[in-house]
Amino acid sequence: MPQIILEHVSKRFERFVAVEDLNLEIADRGFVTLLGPSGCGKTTTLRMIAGLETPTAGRILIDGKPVFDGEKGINLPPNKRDIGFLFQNYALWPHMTVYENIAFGLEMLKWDRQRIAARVGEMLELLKITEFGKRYPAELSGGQQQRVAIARTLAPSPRVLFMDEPLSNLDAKLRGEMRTELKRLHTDTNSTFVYVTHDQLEAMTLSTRVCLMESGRLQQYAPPLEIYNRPANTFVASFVGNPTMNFIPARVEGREAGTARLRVLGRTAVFTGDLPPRLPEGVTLGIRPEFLPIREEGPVRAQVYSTLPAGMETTVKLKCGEEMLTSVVFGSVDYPVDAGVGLDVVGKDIVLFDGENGKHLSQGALQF
Amino acid sequence: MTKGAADLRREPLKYRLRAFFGKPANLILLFFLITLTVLSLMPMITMLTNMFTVHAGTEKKMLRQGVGSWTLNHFQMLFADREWSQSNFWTPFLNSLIVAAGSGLLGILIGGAVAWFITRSDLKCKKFISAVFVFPYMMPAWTLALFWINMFQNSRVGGGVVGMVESFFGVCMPEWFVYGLFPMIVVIGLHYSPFAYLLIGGILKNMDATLEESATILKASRWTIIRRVTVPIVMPAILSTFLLIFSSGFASYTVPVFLGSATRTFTLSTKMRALIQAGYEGQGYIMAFFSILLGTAILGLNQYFTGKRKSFTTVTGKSGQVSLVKLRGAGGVISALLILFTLFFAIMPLVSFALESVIMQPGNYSFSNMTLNFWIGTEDSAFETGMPNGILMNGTMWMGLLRQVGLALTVAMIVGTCGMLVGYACVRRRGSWLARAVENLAFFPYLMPAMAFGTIYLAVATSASFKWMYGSFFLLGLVASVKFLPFASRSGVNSMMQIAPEIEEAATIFGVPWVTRMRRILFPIQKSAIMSGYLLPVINVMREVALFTLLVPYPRYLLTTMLFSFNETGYAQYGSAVTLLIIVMIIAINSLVNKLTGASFDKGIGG
Amino acid sequence: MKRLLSLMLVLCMTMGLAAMASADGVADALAAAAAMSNEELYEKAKEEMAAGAKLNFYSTTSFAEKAASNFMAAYPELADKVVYAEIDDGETYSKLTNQIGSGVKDSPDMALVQNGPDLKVNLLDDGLSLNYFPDALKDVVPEKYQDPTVATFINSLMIYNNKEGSVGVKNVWQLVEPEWAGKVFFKDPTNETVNLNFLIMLTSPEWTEKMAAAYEAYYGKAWESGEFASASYEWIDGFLKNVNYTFTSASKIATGIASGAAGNMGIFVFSKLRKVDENDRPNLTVLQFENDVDCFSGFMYNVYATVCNDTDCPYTCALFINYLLSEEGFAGEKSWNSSQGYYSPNTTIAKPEGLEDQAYVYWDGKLVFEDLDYIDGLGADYNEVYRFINVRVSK
Repeated sequence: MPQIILEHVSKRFERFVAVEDLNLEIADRGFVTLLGPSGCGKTTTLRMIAGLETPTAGRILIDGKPVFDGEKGINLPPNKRDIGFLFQNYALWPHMTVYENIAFGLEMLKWDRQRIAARVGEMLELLKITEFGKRYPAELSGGQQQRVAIARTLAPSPRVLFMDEPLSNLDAKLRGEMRTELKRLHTDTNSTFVYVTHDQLEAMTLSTRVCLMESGRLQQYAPPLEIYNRPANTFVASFVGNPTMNFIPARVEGREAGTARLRVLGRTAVFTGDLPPRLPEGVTLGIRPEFLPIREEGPVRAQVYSTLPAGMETTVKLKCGEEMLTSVVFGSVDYPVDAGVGLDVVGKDIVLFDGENGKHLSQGALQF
Repeated sequence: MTKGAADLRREPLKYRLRAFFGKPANLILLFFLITLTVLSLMPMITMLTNMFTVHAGTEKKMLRQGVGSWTLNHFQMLFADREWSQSNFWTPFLNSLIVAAGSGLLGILIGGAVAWFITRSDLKCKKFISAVFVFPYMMPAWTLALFWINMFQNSRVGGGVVGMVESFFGVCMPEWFVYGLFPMIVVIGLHYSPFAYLLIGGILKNMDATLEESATILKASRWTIIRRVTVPIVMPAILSTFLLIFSSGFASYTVPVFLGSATRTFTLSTKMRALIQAGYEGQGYIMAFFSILLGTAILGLNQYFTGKRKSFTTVTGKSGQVSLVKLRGAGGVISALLILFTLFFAIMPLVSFALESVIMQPGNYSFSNMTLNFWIGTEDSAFETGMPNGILMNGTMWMGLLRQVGLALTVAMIVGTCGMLVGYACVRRRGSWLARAVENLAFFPYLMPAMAFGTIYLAVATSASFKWMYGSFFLLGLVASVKFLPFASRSGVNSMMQIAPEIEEAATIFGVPWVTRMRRILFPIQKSAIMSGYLLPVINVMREVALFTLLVPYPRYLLTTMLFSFNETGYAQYGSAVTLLIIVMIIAINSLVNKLTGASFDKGIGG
Repeated sequence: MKRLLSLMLVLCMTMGLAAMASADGVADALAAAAAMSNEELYEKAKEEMAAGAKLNFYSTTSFAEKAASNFMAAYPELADKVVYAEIDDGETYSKLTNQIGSGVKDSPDMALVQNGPDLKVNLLDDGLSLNYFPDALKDVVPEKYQDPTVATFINSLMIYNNKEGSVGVKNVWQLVEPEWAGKVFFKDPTNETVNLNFLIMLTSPEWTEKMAAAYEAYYGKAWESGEFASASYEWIDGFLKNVNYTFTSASKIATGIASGAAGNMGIFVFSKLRKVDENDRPNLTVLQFENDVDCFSGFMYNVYATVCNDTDCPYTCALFINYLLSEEGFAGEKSWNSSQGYYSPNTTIAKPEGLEDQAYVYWDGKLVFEDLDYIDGLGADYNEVYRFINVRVSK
């Protein structure tokens, strides 16, 4: 079963660097998501692995076999890489029926008629679109077209399936449903999925590992919860998680083994965690909103700036001195604007970042 | 309390009228509805009546009936008299069909192939090829025909005049190659292949790359992709292009005149002209009417296909880079062939005209036989050849040129502005019967072959109440404006469709008056596309012959009709010189406008 | 529909009547002018010009332009008042019938036209144009050329390329033989009415007889009717089969044959020889100057002068026509007489010395002359002949 390996892969378009020195290993049967903001290089990376783009340098191996080698001049065309690709806009052929669309790949494999019919029937059932076999894509809704596209891609049973933001064209409700379907399909088909999205919620909920990229560079490659709880830098921390993590600047005043004394929000606090040998003077504290509860008797005083009550939880924006903080309160609670409240810091996953380069230094508990 | 539809219908008429006339779009549509009806349909009626009346001249001589009296003789002669009918109607008709179909196929093959290479492969020198490839379309079609004759005429066919190929290579092409249906098909097909290239290339360029990429990933070979994905999706555009070239080829007049006279091969349009010239106007009008019916049918068919097309082209936000087919070794050869090909048909004609305009004895290309007399000569002996002085020193020539340019500019101003207004109004009132009617009326003149259109207006201008129009500049301007409105209105509609109504509405809310809205917001946004609407008529008028040939007071009135009469009366050198001048002017105008406004001839027709 | 037509008819008739009314004035003026001397006409002309008139005239022959400028030089006070407009042979009559009486600015005052039968049917019969002939020349111009007035004769001759020892023909029936296929050049008669008239003249009784005699002389047996109504028809059929239509104008035929293959022959306007490059000119031989041909070596047609019935300067027109018929006008510098192939009906005017040509009388009997009365008198039979020719021309 294949393993996908990228070694020092780069892609340059004239002056613009789309992907810079990417090293990645995708375990077989994994569900890896390439996540990042627009222009970060995730689609380009996907297309490079699929063979639709040619890297400027590096090596790509699928199942131990080099499909691209910049130095040796190897570049296998996409139709020889034995993959499946699901396009963002589905790319269904408008002049063919649903049946013909799905059957196309199988015809290219020279299957005989009966075998094709059986397989297409299977796919139609799997994706719950049996009654649309004779229709044309233009006659179907977005969600149905989506399923046809998936069916077409899965029909030849590719060992690796690439998906380029397949859900971004659907409305919110449908997107939620399809996410569940895709996760199910992953289990059912036993293939490796490589998925591109800019939606961090999707990445978090679907993947086995997330590859977070920014401006062509890999930021962190880890399982979702690790990315959430142990972000490698401030970018990762801010990208994942909604509402965004609070970043509060602090100054290191003193340090002992295992603890550091910080000056933050105009007060002194003690950070306890696994500290690196050297600590810079300026640091950034990363506190997730759910670790910053509003408590009457909380040590930090703040003023309510605005609230967003969503029913299940309420997001509260607070002004604390010069800083704007975000807190999440569970339940149907609301606060009047400009009310004075108290804040507390809880939990063991407060992150300490280097104040200058944003890199992850340590993680632990904070006590005021 | 808002008013329902039922309530609105009960509104007093004057309020509804006020609401109707309050919108500028409605006023424009009404104006064009009336004007176009008068200018397109009324002449048709005149022509219809002329199919049944006796005209001065030959008809009067033959029928011995008073001018204007009723007769069915025209129909009888044209259809019932077997021998006459065969040589004057059915054979020319068949020839027209053959030429039209052949040139349609050829145009698509060449234009489509070049379009595929340019948009889908890694061909070298793409910019050069696509820039030069448009030339044959900018040049009037008859220049290619003349060029063909200059190249291939030889001592063994026709009049035995030696052409360039025999002169330089000693090769004599057979008669069917030099004159007749074969070269007509080749010349017209070549002339329209850039047209096919632009239309098909436009579709290919806008076609979603992922449609082909997904087929590649499903392991389809390059050839299978072309066959099963690219071509079927592009097919409606291909069919539409075929029909357009077909109808243009069918209507072609000047090319069959040059290439068919030697072998007496007539097409419907040349026979029509011949009959009118021989005085059989009634039959000429019948043939004109017939070709209009056919044109309407063909373009109705085209509407059907383009309607289908809308559901096939997918334009997505993310236009991915199509992975280009690598041609490798073959690529170099194909590149070279294409470059040679485009150079040959774009540049060689210019060279040949330049050469032909300076030699005295035809066929002799040695330096001793050359003279600049035909360009700048001032000898009186040149008078013997019928034209005092060389063309650059000649008052008649300059007057003809001036009139042609004046006509071109006038028509361009009218047509460009009307096209823009029609486009605006039709898009604003999209869906209403009024907009549909005006859109169709504006496109109607396109269906009529230029020769037929000129014929119709001849009928009008010779009728009692409009005699004052006859032979006037006004008539030429009028006819040209109506004939060239279709593409301008179509490009006006297309370009206005790209603009969201909100853009104008934002200005309306600010209280900006209509004229200012047009001038400062709508026009500047679509400047490039709209300029193409102005540029196209200029080039069309600069190279038009068939439309004007019946309507000018005398042949030397306009440069193009002058040129035509030169070639008919044997002043070949003058003919070549004037042709060269016209082509150079067209290219110059196009480049100038392109530099100044970004508009270009090829952008205009691409739609 | 009928109402529209009858309305149009009434309109036309009314305009016609109106035109007639003014035409009477012109007719009277022309009748008076015929008796006046040139000096008197000049005075009258100056009056007309002072009243703001201009003489616009159409002509199918470009020599007329030169004649006009010579005319203005001879009568200086008429300078810039005589305007020549070129007209295409095919459009002559439709243009004239449309413009006469239309009141259009610069509509023609007179015209020099060829193709007599059409002139008669379209203009003269309906009174749209009137004839004028000066009394002073009644003795020097044969009567049949006075009404309608002939301004000049033009001939089309058999001329061939003499390279490689080629010779022409001695009997016209050679031209229907297979070896002449594609080698004889002739302008399309359906496009060039004078060519058509020539062929029609061949079917007249006089020429039919001659053709039958030539047939016998060539084939050694009498002509028998069978497929064709007469010998002339058979000849026309065979001749048109052999015609090469590559060149669409007389000038082109001339230059084309001169620079083309040996042995090619054209029947074209003699005067167009002046268009041939001097290096090629020796290649051409005028058949008639080599040998007599049984039974013709070309044809002769007439250019008529006719005055529009709505002209505002009839006296100027008369003066101009007088000029054209006089030696001064016809034989003026660079005018008709200086070229081969033009002959004045005025028998006192001879072709100049040194010009490779012969006087008009020389051609009588050697060429087929246009006979307006014959063609006009054909009536319904004209259709038959026309159809016969037309279907043999198209492919």
